[in-house]
Amino acid sequence: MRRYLLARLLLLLPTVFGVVTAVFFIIHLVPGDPVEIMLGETATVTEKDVLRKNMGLDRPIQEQYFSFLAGLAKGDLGVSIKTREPVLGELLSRWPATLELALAALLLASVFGVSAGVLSAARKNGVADKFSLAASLVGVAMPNFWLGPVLIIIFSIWLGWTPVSGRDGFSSLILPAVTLSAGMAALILRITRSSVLEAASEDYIRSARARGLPEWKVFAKHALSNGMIPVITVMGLQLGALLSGAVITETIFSWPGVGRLLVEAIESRDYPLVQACVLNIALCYVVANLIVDFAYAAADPRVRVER
Amino acid sequence: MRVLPIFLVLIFSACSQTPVPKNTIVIGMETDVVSLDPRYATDAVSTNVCRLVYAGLMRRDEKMELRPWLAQSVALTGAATYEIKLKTNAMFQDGRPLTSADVRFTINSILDERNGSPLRNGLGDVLSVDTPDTFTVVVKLKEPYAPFVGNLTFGIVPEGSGDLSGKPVGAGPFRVASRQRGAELALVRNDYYFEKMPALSGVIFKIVPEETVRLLELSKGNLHIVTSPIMPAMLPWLESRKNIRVERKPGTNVSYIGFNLNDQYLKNLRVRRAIAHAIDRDAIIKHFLKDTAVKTTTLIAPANEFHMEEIPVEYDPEKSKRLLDEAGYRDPGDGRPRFKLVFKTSKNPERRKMAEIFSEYLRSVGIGLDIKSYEWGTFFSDVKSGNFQLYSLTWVGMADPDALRFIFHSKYAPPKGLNRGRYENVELDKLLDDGKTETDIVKRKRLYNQAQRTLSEELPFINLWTQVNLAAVDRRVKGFVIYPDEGFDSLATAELSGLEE
Amino acid sequence: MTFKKIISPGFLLGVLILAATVCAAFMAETISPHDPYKQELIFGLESPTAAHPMGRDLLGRDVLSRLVHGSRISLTIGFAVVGISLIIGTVVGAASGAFGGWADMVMTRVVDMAQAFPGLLLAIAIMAVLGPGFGNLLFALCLTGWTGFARLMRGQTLALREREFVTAAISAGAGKGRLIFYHYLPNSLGPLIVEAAFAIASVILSEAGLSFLGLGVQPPEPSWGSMLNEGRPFLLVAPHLTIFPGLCLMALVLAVNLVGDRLRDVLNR
Repeated sequence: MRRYLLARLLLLLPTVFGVVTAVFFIIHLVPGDPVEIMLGETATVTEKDVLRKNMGLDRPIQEQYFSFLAGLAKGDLGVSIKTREPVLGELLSRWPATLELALAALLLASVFGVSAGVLSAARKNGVADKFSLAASLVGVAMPNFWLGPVLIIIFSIWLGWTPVSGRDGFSSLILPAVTLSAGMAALILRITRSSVLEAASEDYIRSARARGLPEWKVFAKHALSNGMIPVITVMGLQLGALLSGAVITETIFSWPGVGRLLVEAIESRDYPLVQACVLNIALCYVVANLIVDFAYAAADPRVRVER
Repeated sequence: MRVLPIFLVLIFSACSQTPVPKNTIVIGMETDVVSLDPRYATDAVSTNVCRLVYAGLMRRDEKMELRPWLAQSVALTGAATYEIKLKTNAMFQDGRPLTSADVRFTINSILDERNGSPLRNGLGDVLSVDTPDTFTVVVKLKEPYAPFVGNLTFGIVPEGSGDLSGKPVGAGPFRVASRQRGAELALVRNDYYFEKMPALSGVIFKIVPEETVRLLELSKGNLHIVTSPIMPAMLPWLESRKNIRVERKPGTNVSYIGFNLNDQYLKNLRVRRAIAHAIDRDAIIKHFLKDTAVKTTTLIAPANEFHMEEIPVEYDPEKSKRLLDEAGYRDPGDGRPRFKLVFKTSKNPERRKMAEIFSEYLRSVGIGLDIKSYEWGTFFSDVKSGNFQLYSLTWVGMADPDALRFIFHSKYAPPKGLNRGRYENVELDKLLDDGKTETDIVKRKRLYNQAQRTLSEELPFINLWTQVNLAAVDRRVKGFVIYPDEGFDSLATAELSGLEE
Repeated sequence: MTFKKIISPGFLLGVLILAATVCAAFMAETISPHDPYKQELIFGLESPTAAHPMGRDLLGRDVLSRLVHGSRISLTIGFAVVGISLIIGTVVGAASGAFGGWADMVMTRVVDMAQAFPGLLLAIAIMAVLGPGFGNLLFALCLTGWTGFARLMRGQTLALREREFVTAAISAGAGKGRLIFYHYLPNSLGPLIVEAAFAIASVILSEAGLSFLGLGVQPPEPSWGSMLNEGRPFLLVAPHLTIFPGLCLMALVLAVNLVGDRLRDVLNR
């Protein structure tokens, strides 16, 4: 087991490295000069040159790249061109908000999705099943920039149960988490349902039934634990996306996470900040994938042997 | 598996609802402050906040008139020498007195090329900055520079300061209490403020990117003030809220359409005039902007003493078509356009809508206008490099008419200046050069009147309208006035009434 | 598997909605009551009336007509992007699974990287370098969409490799290419079609998301996603701007999912 994990961990690095390198070159080659964007236009040519020199932007791109890598090795991600403050600090200051929202959304989606999925599978073709499926279809089809404001109007304005926006206390987490989790919950519901149904047709399930166990217990204990693998895969992928920041939801609810940070950084061509955000995203995806792989390996030993 | 619940509890318990401090106004903002160092702030939000935290030698009041602030007096003692006498009771927020040494340090750090301050150009060609005594500063320029005094509005920082963005220290009516990036910036009253103390205990700038949400928060009383951008279509809704009043004040931002004067079609004055006549500005202002703008022919706003309305360009599509015919671009008569142009814009939704409106008007006179919307960095880059035919932007708060030199003087094409359209007019160049150094106000006004006349005849820009500044304000707020340049300076004298606060 | 077995109420509903949308896309000019580009500023944000049953947008244009024309764009985006992504993804995935060893490892890394790559950044970069425009938008969406198919196809290939008819073919001397095109791909059609169905829905929603960031379809072209996005600031005063495009979007996504669901149920038996 340990060797497997170590091997997977090592394979992590090229992926992260590849993404970060690709992004470095892409963002530098995209038109738009951060110095001009930052200084505005009344700055003279000399001023711009000086600032460029200060930030090391006048060196050839390979040099900048290696300098970036060197800094990375030391843990120094550079200074934001826009605010002139360390980039790592900015990223870290917004990270807790994103983590909070991501975990809350994933929790909501999983709990709701899995339980509804199991229920659906157990009562296949019944009322509950049809209702769940309908709800999941709606959840998948609704864009979150539409759901968000609608929820705000209903729950914050009309009913007054939650704050309108911003990150301030537990109640402010509810609406953004629900908005973000809607699509995921629907997906998890359907995947749970189908994988539980598939597992349910196996022999050992039938024998459990034959032993007289109540239906729901059969499902909960046996079908679920064996049908979880696809569910975990999906959750893992979603987690990767969530951790990298949900731009739209963050914008609508004024949630100070890292999602918006990347968008703003790209717009102002704030190279160091873009690099840091992308590194963050790549790491998140890779870690999420790793978690999924661990779960696989733990559940099914056959997987560990990779031909 | 057992770790997870503990982890969750730790995160969630860290956040419980924070109470709003008493006697504090909360303002909703679209974007966060970028820099809290007045020497480097370029964007409007940062500049406006800096004006609350730092004090400048001069300031502009709500009529945009120049008034002394830290300065007791500013006098021209030689052809190009200014003597600034400071008030003796000014102090920084930590109790330290503000002296000429601080002023000298601030000016020098702005002039220092290594710092890359955007304010550098606004001070002209400075030869020396001296401090004959603790409260006197003497600035010697190479030649007379008319905008000099008007540009002394930047905040003064303590001598020896590095980048103040992280730890701002100013002499303004408020000081920074705390900052949560991307979420809010909290100011509190500066107890050492050298003028009348603010009635408010503090001001909180809350970042709420989504406009609908900003207005909803305002209607619920969680925000007290929301300023532009406010969608004109939302004004009736806002005005119907009992707890909100909507204020409209003339502003200084002027929207315009910029032409590339090297373009084969647009170099022809008739074509430019035709485009100007094709757009019904009255209809746009009335129906689309809901009267949140005022038609104008010049980039200098009405509030500015140099403002002069010139030859109006009326909506006249027939004239437009005639001009195009005269220019040699006949209507093929089969529905196809006479010729096509590309209009570049950013991805700002208002600008895109405006582009669609222009496109329709031009279509009706036979010019096909393709709209290309880019994200800001690329758009801006194209505009500066001259890689465009038409674009539209807004000129923000022109304080001194010398800015026209950067925009229209033939020697000021980017990257040196702002003449993106590469307009060349030797007579205009002379007017603008003279205006820069002319210190006699009467003569100066005459020069700029002539300049504005030339510009409205030649139409290197079509100046569209001056923005009306909007503010949706909670009725509990008293004494808040939005400045023509969208500044929040009146917060220094505003009050908050009502039970809870 | 007979045709009759596929039909179910859900399936029929899905097909119906899809057919209606496709018809609207083809016959947009004929069935639109008004010119979708004609502006009448004075009637901006007008609520639904008899003449304009879905109201008018900010510039006074008829919402219904814009929705009808928008179906063309939304459908094109959905089908084109998924079509292209499907091809790229399945080829990569099948090759990866068929060849195994080094090639597999490298290709899997590439898929990983493409998946970890922030799609947003890529979209912005592509639009910045190549310029805005429909083709470039499709290109940007494709570049991030193919990884799902690649993973799926690889999984399918690995599973199929062990099957008898494949091992038989291998011992008979079949080359990798032959295996991929004659055995792996045809036997994976089921899951691929299902995945494609869901991907269509996802891509159409992605376009809506991109227009949130100002990167979607260029003005004045209507797409359901950008119409939904443009109506967003007016939720409080003109909800018809979000309700109708939202319903259309949901109906299309629903239809695609209904059809996909049914296909999967049938193919899995």
